[in-house]
Amino acid sequence: MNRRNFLTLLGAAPAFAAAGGASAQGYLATADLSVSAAPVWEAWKEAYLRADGRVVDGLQHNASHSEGQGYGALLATEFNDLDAFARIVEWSEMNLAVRGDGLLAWRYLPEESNRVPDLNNASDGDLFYAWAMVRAATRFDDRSYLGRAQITAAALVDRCVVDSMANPAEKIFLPAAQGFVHADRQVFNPCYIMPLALRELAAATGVVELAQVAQHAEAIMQRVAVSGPVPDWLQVTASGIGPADGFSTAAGYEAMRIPLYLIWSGLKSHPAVTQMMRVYEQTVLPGAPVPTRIEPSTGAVLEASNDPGYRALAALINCTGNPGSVGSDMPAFDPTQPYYPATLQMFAMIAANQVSPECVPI
Amino acid sequence: MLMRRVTLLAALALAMPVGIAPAFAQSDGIIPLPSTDDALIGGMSEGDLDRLNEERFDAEAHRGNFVEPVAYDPSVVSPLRPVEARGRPAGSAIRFDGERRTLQFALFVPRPDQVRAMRISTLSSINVLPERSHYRVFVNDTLVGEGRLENFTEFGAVDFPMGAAVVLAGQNNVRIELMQYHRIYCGPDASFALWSDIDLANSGAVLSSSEGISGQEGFLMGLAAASATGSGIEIRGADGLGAYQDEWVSTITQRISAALGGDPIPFRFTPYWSVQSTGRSASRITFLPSAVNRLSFRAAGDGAQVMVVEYVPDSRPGSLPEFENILPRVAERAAPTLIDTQRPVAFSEFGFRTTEVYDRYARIDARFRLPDDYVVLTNAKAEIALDYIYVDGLPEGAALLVNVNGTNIRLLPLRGEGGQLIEQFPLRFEARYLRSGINTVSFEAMIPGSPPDMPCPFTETPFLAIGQSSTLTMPYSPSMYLPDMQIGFAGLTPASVHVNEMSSRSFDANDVVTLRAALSGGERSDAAALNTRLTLLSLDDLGSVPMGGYQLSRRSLEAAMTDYPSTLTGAPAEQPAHALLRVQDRTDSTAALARGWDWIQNGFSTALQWLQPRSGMLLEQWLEQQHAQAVLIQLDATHPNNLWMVRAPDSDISAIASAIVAARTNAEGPRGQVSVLDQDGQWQSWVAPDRQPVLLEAVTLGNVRHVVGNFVSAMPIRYVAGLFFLALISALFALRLVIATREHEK
Repeated sequence: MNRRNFLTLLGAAPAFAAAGGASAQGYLATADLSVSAAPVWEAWKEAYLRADGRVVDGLQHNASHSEGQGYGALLATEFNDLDAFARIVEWSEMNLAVRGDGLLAWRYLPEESNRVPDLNNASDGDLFYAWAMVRAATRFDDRSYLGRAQITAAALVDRCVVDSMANPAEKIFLPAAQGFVHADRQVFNPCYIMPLALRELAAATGVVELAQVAQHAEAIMQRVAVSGPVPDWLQVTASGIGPADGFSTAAGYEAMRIPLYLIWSGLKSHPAVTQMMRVYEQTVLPGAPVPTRIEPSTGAVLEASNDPGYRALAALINCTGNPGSVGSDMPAFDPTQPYYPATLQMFAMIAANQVSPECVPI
Repeated sequence: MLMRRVTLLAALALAMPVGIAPAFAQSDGIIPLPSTDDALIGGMSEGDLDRLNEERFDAEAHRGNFVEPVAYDPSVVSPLRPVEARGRPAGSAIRFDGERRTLQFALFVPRPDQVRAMRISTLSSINVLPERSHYRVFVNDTLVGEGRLENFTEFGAVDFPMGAAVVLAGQNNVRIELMQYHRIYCGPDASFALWSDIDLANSGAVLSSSEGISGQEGFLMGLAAASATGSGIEIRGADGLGAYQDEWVSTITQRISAALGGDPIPFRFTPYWSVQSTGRSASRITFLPSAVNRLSFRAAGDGAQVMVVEYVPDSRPGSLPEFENILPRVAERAAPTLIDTQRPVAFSEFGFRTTEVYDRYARIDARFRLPDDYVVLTNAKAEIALDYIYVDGLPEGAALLVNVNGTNIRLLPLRGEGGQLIEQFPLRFEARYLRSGINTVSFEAMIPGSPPDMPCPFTETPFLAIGQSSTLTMPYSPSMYLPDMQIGFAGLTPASVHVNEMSSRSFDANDVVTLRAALSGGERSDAAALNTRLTLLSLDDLGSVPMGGYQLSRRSLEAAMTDYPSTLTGAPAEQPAHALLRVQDRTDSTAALARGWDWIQNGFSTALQWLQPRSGMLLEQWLEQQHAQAVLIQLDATHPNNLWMVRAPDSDISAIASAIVAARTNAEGPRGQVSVLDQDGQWQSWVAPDRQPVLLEAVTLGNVRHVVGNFVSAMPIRYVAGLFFLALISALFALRLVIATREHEK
């Protein structure tokens, strides 16, 4: 791939991409969250990060995931917290980096005799972990972190990126190294694709295939979103892409990250965002539970939750998706909610601050 | 390509940061690179892989607190808002005590079509007899329900169906009449033991859903909820206002506070990105930079009703619509009426309405205001000409106690003239019980039970009525002034609140905004002209307070504001345990001398204190006995418009603000030189015994007797001593004269 193509991939400026960083209205600017939201980070750490650097998902029997470690490490860079970052990385390397290829085992079960029973990885956890390394190199002015990012980036491409069965010119980002490629289909989870992370990782490490993955995934999701919100799992067969048989076909706890990641990547007008915005506009009411699982074809609400993190996601999408709107309905951060919505709320805050600073909570 | 990548990995492994090294130390620093995926999974079958992946999908199935649709109740309560300041902290229940009480509330309903019911949540004293104790709820004078008082261990709620026809969009008036009976006894003591609380946070109009609730009525509903729950009003995003933050925040909060009246609501600053506090916000003011200054109302995602204030950065507040056009004036914070002196003033002139008493114990307060330059210290008499009537056949011992500013002036037995209107019954009392500013004449009715050891019989007939045609006549006072903080206190305005660089040790920005907002409305315009200055003080800064010759130490203030054991009162010194040691001590001649000297010193200081009380430790000893939430200080008589306030470490600023508001409108406020807001929300005041009146007019033949009378009455011992000295000089002079005239010339 030549330099020109690479730069095009990194820029990835599809028609629906919007400029980030500065408010459309221009009165509120991106803030340094390590200053303006320091109490929020302290609350997140207090609730979900143990002293040894393990990020705990209480709702999943106090398990830890490579996803949580990656998320935590990324948050630590955002909030300029070298101590937390170092602890998270150290614990992850000690307990999850047991595969030997640089990728992390996807889950740690503290109450089991074999605490890492499944050596398979989760590619989104690895992606965020490596992205955190890239950002840490700049944030903490220590380029040595790039080395670890490089290993993960290369391993991801080597083990989790395959050519699409439907269109060999397109790359598919698998959820894990094992178990998702079958003779007749490839199964993947679109919410594992974080375009901004893939591009920054590609740019920092030179592993350009990751930028390609981002570009192709955006195009795939654009096609899928024509008929409604993108579901949790998709499959690729020789005949095309559609909901994965035997997997969740709802737009649920997994797929809710898709619009979040797209907005964070500056793609505020992506069809996957606008589809979800339509659903939220019709279903989210002040003080009422927020939909968490939606039937994509009808928009029917299958599950709802009062956890503020899910409300924050809906508020982010509704605010950024409506040009001209100022102030969002994001609630205050509540550390009593489970780890997952709490962490998504942190991400929604970061995304709003970076892409649509006018979407501060009213 | 693959070879190149493996080489790169090996090279990068060497470049790993030190902090990461332990991870890879599992293999003694060598990174094992399996050549295939099979090596990792250990030749696992596809079935095993599927099983493991199933676990992954299970974990992903529920990642939040799922809410069953049937479990979700979309209804919301628009809480009741008491219209009068109670002097209690925000968030506390409202108490009905005695046998019969009626209280008024405001109720905000954004959309009457959503009203489903009126909910009342009560908790009563165990003494309340549930079979006969009840309450009635009126909305806009229409009875909507009647409930029994039968919750004794925890709050219990009753929903009274209420249709849209009864309710107006916007503000509604709610009246709750409560009647309660003691389950065992009857009489004043039994009446005193009766109380029922209404949980304001869970009492009000039940709306079927919060959908579509916004706008100014929604915001008012949010304000009522913020007050009822004690969560207060958030002020978000004020940091961006920069140099004009104080001006913007003051303008907005003070207008809201003045419009709302009643108990003040605490304000608190939060950043845009904040952590959820214990109680969810019900209302919020959010500042957003914009091209124009304007207000709008929105419902936030967390259910809070938000006033969004858009402002032009780096500009003063301007072009905002007047709040009278946006928020209706819910309640006034008006001071009691100023009355004339030297003529009979009908009670009705200062707002007293004929009052019927149904309770075995009842206290009826009539409040009025005397001119600030009214001082009577002599034994001149004031007179109440009382119109009252009581039913015939009241039990023996039934009486009406009349007191003025807490001093009992007459006990009227309620017997012998039952059923007859007693008109203009004269009650003469010392006018010096009354003072400039707010005064209270109280009537306490006490009707024994008959029999006292059975529940009171049901009655719809009042025992007693006091007429509004009763009059009060005050004697003449020359224009004089006694040093007192009440004038300065009456003139407090938001602009009066000042902070210095040390104030933040005791008062944060939230406290200052809350206090300033509470002081909007209710100030007397004439007193406000004094430009009172209320300095919020840290104890560390006590040295900056002018003491006016009094003694006020940090130790005594700390003793008043904490529960530390007394250090100033004359606690007897511990004696040596062994009797022999005490004998030895007594026989020690040096110690005996020292004790003798101490005795002389104490005697001297006691005598001095008797002659000149300010030199003693009266103030400190008084403070020692207090349990203060806050202390107001005004010791410098030369600057009566300068007040200082310190607060106890864990005090609630909303309780302090509420007590200040209540004191300016409907209760006894701070007086004298030092005033303490006690733990019960009452002001306890210390009046310097040696304060001297100041004459504000010329001495004339007409006023000289009153002026001299006041001066002499203020400090009689000085004039007695002066006269004694004069008599002594005269006697000496006379003696010298006698001796001189009888000396034989040589």
